[in-house]
Amino acid sequence: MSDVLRLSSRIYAQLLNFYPEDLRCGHGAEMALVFDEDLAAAQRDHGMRGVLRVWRWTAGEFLRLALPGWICSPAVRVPVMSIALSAGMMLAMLPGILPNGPGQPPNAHAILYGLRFALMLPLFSTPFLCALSFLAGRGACLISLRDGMDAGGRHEDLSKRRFL
Amino acid sequence: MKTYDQPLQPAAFFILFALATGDKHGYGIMQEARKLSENRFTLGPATLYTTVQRLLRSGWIEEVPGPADHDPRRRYYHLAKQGRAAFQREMERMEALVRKSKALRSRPAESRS
Repeated sequence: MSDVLRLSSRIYAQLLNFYPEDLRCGHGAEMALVFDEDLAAAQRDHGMRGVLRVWRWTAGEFLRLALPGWICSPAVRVPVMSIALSAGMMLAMLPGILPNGPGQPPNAHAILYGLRFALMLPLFSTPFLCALSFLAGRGACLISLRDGMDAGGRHEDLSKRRFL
Repeated sequence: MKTYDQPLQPAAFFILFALATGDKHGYGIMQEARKLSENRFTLGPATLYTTVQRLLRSGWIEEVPGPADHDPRRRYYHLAKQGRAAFQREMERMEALVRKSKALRSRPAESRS
């Protein structure tokens, strides 16, 4: 197996993380196998041009089938909404960090500062949420790919199993 | 007026077409679809298995054990009775369209407008 095929195979295995969970768990191992075979045949018949053609198709499929579902999944929606909420709140609090104007009560600055801190909390928690959701998705894929084969390399019917 | 069934999506049509020629694994379906369409239609792995999953759920195709000496990583698929009927309906729909199109072409130009 050439370096190009090995690298492509690894990248595709990572891209599988973004496909819907039921597809990944039911057919993830087969998809990886079919991709490897198609890529090897394309390289054998058309060289690098064939490899690029397979990748062009794969990228198209990824944008059409994986990305919309991934963006709408709770694992992505929650952190993104959290960031958006934090950013929105910080913008709203921006006047609070400015010095009190002549018409403002003396403790308004402190109240706004405290409120800003409370609302910034999701911003700090977001990286942890992102990392957690990514690891959860990756774990599910690894389980599906690993369990796709039993000890003898025999494929198990994963469509009858559910993970997570 | 005659009504037509909803046409099959190209991926579903070519999977059913490929399986009508015999039981196949995923890569076999991909190759057969390419051959049947004379390289005009390519099924990528994600399109292939998204459609296979849908066809399995609707009972149009089914998983069958492969030949004795097959690669254990592969899963084989078979065209079920319902799938064969749907494929037949689609072929009839296409034939009817071709007949209509030929009839239209054979008419003199002035009578078409």
